[in-house]
Parts: sequence; structure tokens; C-alpha cells
Amino acid sequence: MPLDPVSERRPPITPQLAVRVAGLGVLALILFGVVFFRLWYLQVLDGDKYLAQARDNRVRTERIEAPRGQIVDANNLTLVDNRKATVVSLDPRTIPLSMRDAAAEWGQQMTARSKRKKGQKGPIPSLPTPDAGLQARYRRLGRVLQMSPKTINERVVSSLVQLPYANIRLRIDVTRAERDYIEERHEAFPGVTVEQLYMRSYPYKDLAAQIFGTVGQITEDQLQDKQHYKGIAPGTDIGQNGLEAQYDKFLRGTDGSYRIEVNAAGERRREVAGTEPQSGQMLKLTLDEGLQQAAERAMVRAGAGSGPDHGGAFVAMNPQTGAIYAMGSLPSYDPQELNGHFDTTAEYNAKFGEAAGSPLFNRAIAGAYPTGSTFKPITALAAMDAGVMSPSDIFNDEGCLQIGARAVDRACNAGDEVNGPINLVDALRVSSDVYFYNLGLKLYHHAGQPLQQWARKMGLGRPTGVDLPYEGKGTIPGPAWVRKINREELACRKRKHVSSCGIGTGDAVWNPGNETNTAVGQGDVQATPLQMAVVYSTLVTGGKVPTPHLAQEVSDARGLVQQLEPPASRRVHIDPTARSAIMEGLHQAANSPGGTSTTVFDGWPRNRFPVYGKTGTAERPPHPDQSWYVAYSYDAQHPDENPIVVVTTIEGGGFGAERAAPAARQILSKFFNVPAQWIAGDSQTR
Amino acid sequence: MALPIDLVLVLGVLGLAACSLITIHAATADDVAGDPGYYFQRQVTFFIIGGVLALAMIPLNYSRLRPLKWWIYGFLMASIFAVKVMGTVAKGAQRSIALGPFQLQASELGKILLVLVLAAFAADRVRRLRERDTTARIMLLALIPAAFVMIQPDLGSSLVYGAISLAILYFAGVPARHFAALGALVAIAVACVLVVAPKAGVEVLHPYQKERLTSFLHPTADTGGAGYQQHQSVIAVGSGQKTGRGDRATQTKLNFLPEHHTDFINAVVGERWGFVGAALVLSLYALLIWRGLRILTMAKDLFGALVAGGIVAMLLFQVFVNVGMTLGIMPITGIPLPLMSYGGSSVVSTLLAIGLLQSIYVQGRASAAIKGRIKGH
Repeated sequence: MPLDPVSERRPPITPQLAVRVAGLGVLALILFGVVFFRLWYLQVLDGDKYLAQARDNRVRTERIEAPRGQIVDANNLTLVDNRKATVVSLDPRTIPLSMRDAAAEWGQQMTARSKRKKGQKGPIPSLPTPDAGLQARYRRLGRVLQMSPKTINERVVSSLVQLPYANIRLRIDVTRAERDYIEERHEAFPGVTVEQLYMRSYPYKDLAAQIFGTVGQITEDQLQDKQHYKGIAPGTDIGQNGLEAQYDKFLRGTDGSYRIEVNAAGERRREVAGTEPQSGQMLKLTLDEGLQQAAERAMVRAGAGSGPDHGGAFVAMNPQTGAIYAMGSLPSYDPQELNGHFDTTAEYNAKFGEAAGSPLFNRAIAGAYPTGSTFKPITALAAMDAGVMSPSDIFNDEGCLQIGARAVDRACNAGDEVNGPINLVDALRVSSDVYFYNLGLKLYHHAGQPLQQWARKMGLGRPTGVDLPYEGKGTIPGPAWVRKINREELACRKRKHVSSCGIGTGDAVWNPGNETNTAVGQGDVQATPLQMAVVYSTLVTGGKVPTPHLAQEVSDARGLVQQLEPPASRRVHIDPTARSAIMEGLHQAANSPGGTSTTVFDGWPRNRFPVYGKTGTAERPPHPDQSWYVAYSYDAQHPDENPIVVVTTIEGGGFGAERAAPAARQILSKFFNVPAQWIAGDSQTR
Repeated sequence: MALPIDLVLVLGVLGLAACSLITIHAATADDVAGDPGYYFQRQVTFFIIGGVLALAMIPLNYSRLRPLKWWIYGFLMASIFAVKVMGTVAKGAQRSIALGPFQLQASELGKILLVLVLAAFAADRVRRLRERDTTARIMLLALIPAAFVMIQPDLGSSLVYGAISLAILYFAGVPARHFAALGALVAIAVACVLVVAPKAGVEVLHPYQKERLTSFLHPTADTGGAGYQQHQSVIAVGSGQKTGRGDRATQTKLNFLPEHHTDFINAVVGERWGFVGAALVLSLYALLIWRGLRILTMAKDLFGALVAGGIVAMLLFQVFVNVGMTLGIMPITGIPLPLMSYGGSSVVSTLLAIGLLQSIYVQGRASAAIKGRIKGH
């Protein structure tokens, strides 16, 4: 059918209307153009970006915590284990923003306060108070968890300050009933999660607690430290002290993750493939659990850890390799109790504060003490090397020695005991102070400060390099040290505009009295028990300075073992004749009549397990004398197998032979499987 | 005898109806538990009802509606008040009246009614179009229902009413200076609503409306709050890339994209069928606009031309604002995408408008044929 020709003709419209139609047409074209361009831009040019965003939208990644590796002793006994604990925590995002800001501000105030001088600190800023809604949440939680709202608030604030984005752990180890109650009434506890977390467990409670150290969530400062804590996610538990910190990279596992697809309401739709968590590697120590137990018992018997002024420490080490068989600091603590909750600071201090003997402090590696007579072999080595003394030289010990020109500048033996004419071996046997004062006097006048040089060579005044953090390095005083103290004192006076800072006098000079004091391990000498173990090891081995270490190897879940080699030992040249003279002196001190610790070893199988020992009695005014003992022994039938150096020290323990030596004997008994016997020595020498 | 109706327009509408049904079928399969076809079936029903009504409109002489303008206006206002009195509340807004199993959203039907009223009013005053009085009255006629719709609250529809009234004025040939004056008034009104009134303690817009209006200016500022819907919509569209994600369209399926069967249906198209699909839908709308303008030029009288102009403007405004909203270049105003979005009132009203266009087309051709014959003889 042909089209009607007329119908194809446009009906007439006014030109004005035509213009308007055209106008709207142009507008429509522009609008469609805009939309098409935008569509092209979003979908074709930027599509990849939005596709990625759409994927991120639907997939949430959740962390699966990896258990930390176990720590086992040399015989594979588990010393530090894991357990699953039920932890109630609070999501910080559910805390009102105003409260979070207030907590941050409080943290800043506290930091500012801690930087101010003592006496000018001012009052402790009061904790931010929660608003009514939050207070109600605290009360509800507190009723279930049996915590006061105040304690909860303290926890929340301190967690917000230290770990602003981490879940706030309110209570560890909640009961099943408490857990069920919270989980069943989820709506009543907004932001509260009940998680199963791995916590450390310690089958031997307080055994070697300071060595293992603690585990805690990575702090805000650590997160900023990209050098040491790279790639650790916020909220991860890491080692904060002790071996846990030192070997964190082995002990910390690799967290797994699972990706879950969620809808817009956050509901899980299905799990997407994830990665399995890999538990941390097992750390095997050189430590022997049996010896450690025995040593700690012996130390307790010697009075270590019996009061705030009676701390103690011991080291039992292989002098050849530096492998530590046992090491400890007393008083100790049960690490599990650290995780418990303390309602007040006083409650915490009662358990872990100074009044409790600062149990967290590892005296074996960080307790810097004067060493007393245990220092004497170093003085002997220095004197022989400098040529101011030979082992055969006879010195007449008259009980006292005039050090300076004035009448008061006299130094005497304990009890002014007169030992008569003695050589080096005799002097070590009876521990004559006067003999070594005399050496100190000679070394003072010798060029090149041989005493300080040798102390440093043997391992004092510097870290031993043990595989633990926060090691102390002690002090070897000398002319340079005095100058440094003077400088510090003067700089401090200038800075603070006071007449004295108490660091020193500001104009002190190194005088003969200082040197003679140093020669017998007194005065400003400071060394850790572990450093003394290194000194004697170096002597015993004839110049090999071992690097003490606790870790032996790590192994992963598949049993792949990796040996942890300690750093190569340093070597010191020790003249063999000098060494043998000193060793003879140490042997006689523990075996010959008149030896300072001979009676302590009564009944000891001296032929099978030859024993060498040196007592020490360090004067630490205003504290009572500190008891020291260093022993060396080995199995005469297998001289190359398992030699041992033992160092014991007991703060306020009196004479070395009295407390420290018997404790050392107990440790040796356990090590060589010799029936134990406790004989307190009667030697009243230093 | 030539084809009685504009077939291209019919094809365009059928194409959009097909797109709408396919998209709703795909997007809402998981939305109603146990009844994956719920929205699809209802939308089919809407298209059938609307189609029948539109077909009924074609033989109708639309000119007969012109004298009924006050009745229509009365009905328009009555329906808006009825919503206020007996309407049901959904999502914080009272926009519809229950009508059996369906909800009648009076403001949707109101769009088409308003086109008729304003066109009739303007056509009646054809000799006085250059008078300020005429412009003022037309604007007043539009603003009364717009204001009532706005307090439902239905900001989108009231904006459409505004667009319609401006279009009618434009096609009626109101002097340009009137538009300039209107523009100034609008600017003052906006300033009052957004700045002055809140300071005086009177909130004209609901806070959520203001946030939506302003948040699109800073799309990345608040992707969790007011900007959430738009942010998710843009992601959905963008992730569709050239050819779409098909069944892997997670934005829709996992409900990240809200209102995916109604206001944000264009984002579903974009995500599922990509640039290809979205461009096809846009092309169909372009087709509609083109045919609408063509019919405008063929109208037998000014009333018809104004009705066609109003309808074209209504469609163009809604399409641009809605699509622009899903693409993140226009604020969220709650305007449905005509013929695509799920919703009976919108579908039926738009189909009625299409029916009116067809009626204008038929009448125009018939009149032209008569005139032609007269001229020819």
C-alpha cells in the first residue's frame, strides 16, 4: 500500500516553535553527550579501578592467629608452651570518638608529666570519664566479668593510649559461663567480642622467668619502627623482652587468613580460599631444666630472693662454647600472674615492684655489682703482663698497706689479718687484699693503664653479646672514666644551674686509692654475673673469650632444624705461665688448707672433678656485703667434655665462702651428679 | 492508509520495557526469599496495565481534556491530599495510597496530569502569553502541587514538576526575560532553603535530602554515610567495564547497591551489561526524545504541542537526573528512570504519557491530511 503523499508533508508550525524545538533538541544532545562521556569514562577508562573496588567490597580478610613456637630445654622438655585462652575484648571503634580523643589527650598529659623533674611533676591527670552510655556499658560488662567499671575504664584508656586501634583486652581467661552469657546476649554488649587466643603457658611457673621474657601486643611505637618490626600487623603479639623478644622472628608464626565474601550487611556468604597459619618455630635452648631447678633451689637456700635487699643471680656456662646450662635471677615470678588483672597499682607493685625485690629484673645479665675478690685474677694477669710481678715474687703481707702520703691512706685485709711473705699462688689461696693493693699501686704507676686494659680484654665494661635484650655492660673505672664523670657533672650543673648534680665532685682525679680499690674489685667496679662467667671462661680456656648464648637451634613444624651459631669468639693472648700460676692459686683456694673455700668442698670428689674457685665479698655501702663465688670444674676422665664455670652471687649474703660458694657447690653436684652437700665456709676474707 | 501510530516510538518503548524486565529479573532474583520472580511478575503486570491504558489513549481525542483542566487539577490536588490523609508510610515517606495489592504513588500520575493542566492553561491564554501575569500563574499552578509533594517528602517529583512547568513556559513562548526573572527567584529560593532558613531555625529540606544534594559534590568525602549509595553505584557502573560482569555482578547481587531495582536500576544495567548495555538503554531514550520532539512539531494545535513538549521535557529531565545520579554527576533526588525502574505508578504514568503522544501523533496526522486535502483541492 503506497503511503499517502499528503501525510508525509509536515504540518506547518510557526518558526518560533521550530526554534524552540531545535533548542530543546540541542539541550537533549548535550545532556546525552555528557552522560555518554561519563559512562565511557567510568566503564572503559577507569573500569579496572572500579572492578577492583567491587572485589574489595565483597571480600573481607580475617586473620587467623598463629601460635608461637615452643621453647624447650636441651633435653626437649617444654619450658614455654601455648594454651588457648578465652579473652573478652572491646572493639575500640565502638567507643565514642570523644572518649577516644580524651584518652589520647590523657596519654599526652601523662607523657609530658613523666618528662618533668621529680618534685615538679604535679598531680596525676585524672582519667577521662566515660559518658552515661559508655558508663552503662561498663557497668553491664563489669557485672558479668566481676570487674568494677573503674577498672574497665582504666583498661580502656590505657589500651587506647598504647594501642589505639587494637582490640581492648578487658579480661583474659573468662569462665565458660561468663563467655556463654556474653555471647548469648550479643545485643546487650555492643562491640564486645569473645575470642579464643593463644596465650603463653609456663609449665615450670617461675623457672627462669626473666630469661623467657614476656609477650605482648605490638605497641604503637614499635609499629612506627619499620626497621625492626617491619610487616607486623597491628594487634599481633610479639616478644617484648627476654628470649621471646630476641628470637621473635623465629618464635612468631605467620598468621593465616581466610577471606570471606560478605554482603552489604556484613553477613558472611561463603568462605574464600585463605592461607593456613604457620605456627612459630620451636626454640631449643642450651639450658638444662634439671640444673636450672637445682640451681634456683640452691640459690634460695643461700638466701637469694628472701627479701628486697637479697636478690641473687647465677650462671652456669660451658667455658669453651659459651653455652649457658643454667642462668637465673632471684626473686623470680610466675609469668602467668603478669597477665592477671590488678585492681590497683599498689597491688601490682606488691608482686612486681621494688618492695617485692623487682622480680622482673634479670640480675644475671643486667645486675651491675662490684665483684669483690673474684676480680683478683684480672689484676694478676695485668701485673704479670706489665712485668711488675712474677709468680715467684715474694711479698710480705703485713695486714695493711700504706697507699698514699697521709696516715689515713692505708688499706688493710679483712680483719687486718697478716699473711706474712706470700707469692701469687698463696695470695689467691688466702685472697690477700694487701697483696693485690700492692699490685694495684704498681700498676697505677705503670704506663698504659694495664689493669683497665686487661679488665676490658677479659670481657668487663662491655656487653658479653648474650642472646638477650637489655644486657648491662658494667663499669671499669680509670682515668678516662673519671674525666667523663667530671664532664657529665659539670655539664649537668651548667644545664640545671645547681651547685651539685650528685654524679661526681667535678674535679676528681684518678688516684692510687682508686686503682688499688679496682685491683680488688671494689670502688666503682661494676660487673654482671654473666660478665664474670666470661672472664673466668677466658682464663680457663687460655684466651678464648666465649660469647654466652642460650639458644641452640630452631626447628619448624616439618622438623627442619636450623642451628643458631653464636658469634665467633674473640681471642686474648694470655701467657701460659701466667695462666697456670693463677689456675694453681684458684685450685689451692678451693682445695688446699687455708684456701678460702676449701672447707666448702669438704667431701667433694676432688680427683674425679677437680675444682677451682674464687670467693668474693663485695662491699656495697650502704647495703650489706655481697657474697660472690666463681667455680670451674670438669670431669677428669673426660676433660674435653662439658667443662663448667659457675658464678653465684647473693646480695647481702656476707662473705663469699658463707653463701655463694655452697650454692655453687650445689650446682656442680647436680651437674656432675655428685650427692649434694651444703657446707657453709668459714673464711672471713674478702 | 499510512500506519496509524508512530511505530518507532512503540519500538522504543517496547525495547525499554524488555530491558526493564530483563534487568529486574536478573537483579531481584535474590531479593524476595522463596519468590525470585516477585518483582519481575509485578513489573510485567504494570507494563500490561500501562500498555492497555496507553492503547486506550490513542483513539482518544486529547483535545477533549483541555476544557477539563480544572477538574484534572482538582483531581491532582485531591490525590496528593489523599496521600497525606490515607497514604501509607514507607521508608520514612508518605507517598502512596494502597490500591488493592498495589501502591498508587499519586505524585507519579501527577506529573502527567500537571502537563495536561499547564498545557491547557497556557493554550487558553495564548493571546496573553507575553504577559508577566501568565508566567506567574503557570508557575503558581505548578508550585502548589510541587510544594505539597515536597513535604511528603518527595523532592524528586517536585523537581520534575518544576521542570515540566519551565518546559511548558518555554514551548508556549514566554519571553526570555521571564526566564531570567524565574532564574533569579529560584536562586533566591535555593539560598533561602539551604542557608537562610536553617539559620532561622526552619528546616525546609530534611537533613538527608540536603546531605544527598551536597554529598555528590564531594563524592569521596563520605562514602560510608550520605555518599554511600552513590559511591556504590559508581563502583557498580565502573566495574561493568565494556561488556559487563553478567552473573558475577556482585555489587547488585550482594546488595551493596541499594534500590537496585528502582532508582539505581541504571547502575545494574551498567554493572551487568557494561558500556554496551548502558549505551543501548540510553540510545532507546534518545529515540524516545527524538520521536517526542517530532510529534511536538506535528501536533494539530498548541495544546497538543505543549503537552508533547511537557512530556518530552519530563522524560528528558528524569532520564538525565536519574542516569546522572547513578554515574555520580547528579545528586540523589529519588527520581525513577522512566519505563526502566520497578514501580507501577511510574510505569503506568509514563505509558499513559506515551499514549498521549501517540494520540497527538494520530490527531496531528489526521488534521494534516484534512488540511492537505483542502489545500490540494
